Amino acid sequence: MEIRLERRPTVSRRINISVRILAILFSLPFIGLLFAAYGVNPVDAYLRIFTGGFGSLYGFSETIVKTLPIGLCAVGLTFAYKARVLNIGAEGQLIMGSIAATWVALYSGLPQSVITIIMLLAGFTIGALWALLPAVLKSELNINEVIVTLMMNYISLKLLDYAVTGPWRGLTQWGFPQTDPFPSYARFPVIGGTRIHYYTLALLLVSTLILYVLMKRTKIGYEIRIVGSNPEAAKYAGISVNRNILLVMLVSGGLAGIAGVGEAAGIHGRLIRGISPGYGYTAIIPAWLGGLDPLGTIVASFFISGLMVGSDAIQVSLRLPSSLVYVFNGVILLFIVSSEVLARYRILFKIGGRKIWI
Amino acid sequence: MRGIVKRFPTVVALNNVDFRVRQGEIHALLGENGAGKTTLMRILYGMYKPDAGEIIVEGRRVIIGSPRDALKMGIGMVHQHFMLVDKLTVLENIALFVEEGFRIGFDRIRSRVEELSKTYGLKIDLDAKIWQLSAGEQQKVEIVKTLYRNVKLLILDEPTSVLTPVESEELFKSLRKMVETGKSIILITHRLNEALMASDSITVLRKGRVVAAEVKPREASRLDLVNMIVGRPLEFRPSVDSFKKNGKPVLEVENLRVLDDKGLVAVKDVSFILREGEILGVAGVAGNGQRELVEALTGLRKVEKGIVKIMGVNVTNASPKNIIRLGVAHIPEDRFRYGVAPDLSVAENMVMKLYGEKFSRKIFIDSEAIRKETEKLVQEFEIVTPSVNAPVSLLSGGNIQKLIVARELSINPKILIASNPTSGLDVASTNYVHWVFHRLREAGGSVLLVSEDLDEVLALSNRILVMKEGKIVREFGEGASISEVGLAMTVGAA
Repeated sequence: MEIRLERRPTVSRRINISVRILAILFSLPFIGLLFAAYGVNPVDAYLRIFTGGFGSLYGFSETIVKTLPIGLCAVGLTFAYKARVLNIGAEGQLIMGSIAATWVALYSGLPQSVITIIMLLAGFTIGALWALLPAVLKSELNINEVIVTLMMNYISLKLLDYAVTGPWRGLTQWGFPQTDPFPSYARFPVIGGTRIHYYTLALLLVSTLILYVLMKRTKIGYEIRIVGSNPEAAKYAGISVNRNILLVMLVSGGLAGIAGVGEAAGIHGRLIRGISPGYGYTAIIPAWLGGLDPLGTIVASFFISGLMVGSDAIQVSLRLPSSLVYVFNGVILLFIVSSEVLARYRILFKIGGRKIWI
Repeated sequence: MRGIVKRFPTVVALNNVDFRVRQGEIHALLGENGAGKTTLMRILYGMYKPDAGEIIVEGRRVIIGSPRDALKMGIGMVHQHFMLVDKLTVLENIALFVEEGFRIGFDRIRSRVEELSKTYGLKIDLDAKIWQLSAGEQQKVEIVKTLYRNVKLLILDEPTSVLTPVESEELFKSLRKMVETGKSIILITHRLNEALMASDSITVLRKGRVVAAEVKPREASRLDLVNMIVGRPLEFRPSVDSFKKNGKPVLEVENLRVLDDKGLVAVKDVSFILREGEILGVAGVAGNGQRELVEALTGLRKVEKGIVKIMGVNVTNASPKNIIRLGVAHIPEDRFRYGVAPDLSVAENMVMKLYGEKFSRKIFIDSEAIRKETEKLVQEFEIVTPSVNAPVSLLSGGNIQKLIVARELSINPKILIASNPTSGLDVASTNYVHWVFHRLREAGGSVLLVSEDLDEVLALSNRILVMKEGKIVREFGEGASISEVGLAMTVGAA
């Protein structure tokens, strides 16, 4: 018997999807080992995770609640990653968005009728500006964007801590590190009986659709794909690489900023310390899992969110440590990233005279 | 090699091929792009496994599973793209290849390499860093590497494509010395003259089959070989007769100074004029400022000093986009660096220059029009691709070159700046490209033809500039001889 890797003549959507689903399935036994080490039956744990995230109306709605910030960040990231701009700073951009929304809600004194729209605009703008600095450093001085965006996450985290423990600490909050609640007109309405803030949901769906069309059907998307595939060829074809780097960073930063507005105005109704439990980092997974395609990424975001909700559930019911969720996500990401090669290559098994391709 | 069959997902690359090399001969292997030459040699060097057939080395049937196996059996290969570490010295690179153990015996290696260089006339500076060497010198390093491993059969994949005429001559002298000591050499080439002059025996492949085996060069003419390779006579004979003298200038360059990547002056105060309906050849040994000149003219490299005018418009340090808009097409020297976006499809690469004007409506891309245009060009230029939607990274080097040439000509350029436009192309494709250049000139277009292939420059150009060390050292009119131009390339001004 002989096993060999051969390049696939074409890469179809079907193969892309099935390879990723297989990667997830193959990762399960490995995570199962961890569960087993805690004395939990892995199959039981998976069932609980699944029913926790998708099995009930409550679980389902909570999954959507998490899909909002993760999806917004992830869809923006697909845009940047397509241009081979590795923005790791969605977390910081999200936090800055929530800070901007808080300022508008509590301190701007703007009229009630325009306050929500201004909050969203401010969140998008600040998130975009927060991404602009690493973008300019990359395009003008060729400084690695991974490092700069990552470091700026810590800056924004400290700014948030400063705001909620310092000048913006709520007078009615008994010393907790959070601001006073937003006035009701500065809060996003929710679908009855759930925590789904539908302004953000609508924005998520619209921006996904726009980015999908932009990427597939327009000159902008075409230029971004060339820049991502070969920046030198882009220059040669008369495409401005720097302009595209700025564009993708502004868009991905802005969408992460909106996610932050949604968390502040839709979930907590105020600014709190730790407003994001790492949504901006988690979003990196669905961006790749979705094959850097906005539609795929939305589906993947929903799936990852369900895992998170389900893991929260078993954390309580099976008394497992919460950090297990991150291990869980990490293992899945590892499997997906390594499965990429199978989307481009196929395996040839030669047994006797017969050939089987997978 | 007997009855070799190799199938790839979409094609049969080799169909029952028999191939025999005798000891002590230089055996030329000819064929078009995609005829299967490289595939056959990769099988011999253990990089691919054949689907059927057997390999016999010195009377014994062998299985060659990897290049390591091949080297053990005394089979070595020098690839078109060199496998050297830029930042290390020549000696270190050789050591990397030959040393199996943990310790490196530099002194031992040095004395052995010096001996080999002397025997075969391959002079190299062992302490120079690879990036400081010319392509020809790097090739010598590659050859010495394999000789050090005591190869008996050396495969050279288009060795002269990176060499100057003088360097090629030197190479063939060295190869001759090797066969005199009993080694055998397989020479893959597109240049028929080389096969006729330098080899002892010729095998021709066409579409995965052997069409002529062990032809003696004395018994075949250039025309015979073309017929064997292409399967039909070539339609176009290049000529320079259709030149309208004193056309108006389309490209004017005055006192141009350009720096290279290391910040040294690569183009030194160069001035020339390209006229309407003219093919202006720029000959020169690679690395004498041609690349920097071309990049400066196309907006890809900064101009330090001087003026570039296209159609009378000053485009000194203008953006590539503005230069393209004036009707300037560019076939780049390094097709992988500039020429294509490898992850994108053939169709998407085909419209890289025109997507903004011809193939879009407002902000939207017109995929249907792109597909139609691409299918037309793929057919016209005979580009071998699974489909127009296949990523370019699946194409062979020659087909990528055809794609680039097709794209650049499809913009109906007024000026075409072409760097080694036919490098890696087979006889028929080269002939087609030459014909298209000729047609472009007939239609009043102009071509700046920068090429290391002197035959090509001489056959097509109305005038020839010779570049050496960043300067234009000579200018020739029509009817210059190859020896005159070759001499100017190496010694400079007469």
